Amino acid sequence: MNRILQCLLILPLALLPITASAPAFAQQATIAVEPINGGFDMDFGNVKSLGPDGELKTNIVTGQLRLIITNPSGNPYKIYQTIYSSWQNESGENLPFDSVQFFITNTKTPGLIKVPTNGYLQSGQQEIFQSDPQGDNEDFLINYTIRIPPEQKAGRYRMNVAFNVVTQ
Amino acid sequence: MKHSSFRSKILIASLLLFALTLHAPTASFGQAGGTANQTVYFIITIDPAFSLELKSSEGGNVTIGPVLPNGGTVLQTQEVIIHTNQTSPYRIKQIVQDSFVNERGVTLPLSKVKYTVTNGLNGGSSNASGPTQLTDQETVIFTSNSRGDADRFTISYFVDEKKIIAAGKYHARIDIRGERS
Repeated sequence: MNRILQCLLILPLALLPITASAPAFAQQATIAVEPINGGFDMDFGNVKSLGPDGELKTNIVTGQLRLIITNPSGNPYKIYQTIYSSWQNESGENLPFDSVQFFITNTKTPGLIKVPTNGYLQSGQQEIFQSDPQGDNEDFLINYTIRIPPEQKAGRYRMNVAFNVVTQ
Repeated sequence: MKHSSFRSKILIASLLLFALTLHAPTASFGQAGGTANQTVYFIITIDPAFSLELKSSEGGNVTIGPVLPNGGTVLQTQEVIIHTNQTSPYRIKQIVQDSFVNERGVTLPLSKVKYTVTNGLNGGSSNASGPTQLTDQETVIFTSNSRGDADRFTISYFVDEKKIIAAGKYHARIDIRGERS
């Protein structure tokens, strides 16, 4: 009787990690985000908003991000870009959302690009791509253009950008 | 009796764990069929800049005159424009490098020259809103607002000609410098 009880106790313990994780790994889509210039951060480098003699400067910088979606589920999916708060530097100064424009290129499947060319960055969740009906794996580039307003306060500005893939 | 109570506790515990294993996959999928996400930091660095622009009819020099003994008050104004994108406050100082001398080499003592400074158009404050004696000491004449915003103000130099002995056009070199607080 004791042995039966021991088995009853051990069996579910052994099954718990397998049953909890196996179906999720097997069927869920994954997303990888890679800055084209390397590294983990999308670093646009150093720019000037004022010249050495005080002349106003509007500086434009660009950067590319590669998104790789692997979807073994066979179900269609959507990709969202989510931003909760705009750029902020160490002194709490903000860079407005409309300082960033972006567009998508180099898609591999007949999925739908859901943002206009050179659309502005938006606060909150924004759908940017919808897969084909088969939910094929995808791989594309997002091209960002940052326009620094003249006299924008100096500092290191950071912004969190999240990319979500949601299978249907 | 004790033994049987222990066994029933183990049985209940094992049944609870088994129920958990059955429930777990449903929770991990959620309602939308599955989501995955990645977050990236966007970073951009804007370089600091600070410069002064001086606007006066005489370039970098301060010129008073021509002055005549027993004439009225004469003025020269100089506009100071501060270009900055930094976020810390700053002060503007005035330093007399070369005193007032006329075309015949006659010196006008600084004690006979006064100046005033206006408040800034962008919240900066004058440190010489009333007539102030010019000295050979480095003097703070303007303080920015607390955010250290770009600003502009005007300095007016004047002399009471009743105190002039020798007529002429007097030139001095006065440096205007910025200093971060």
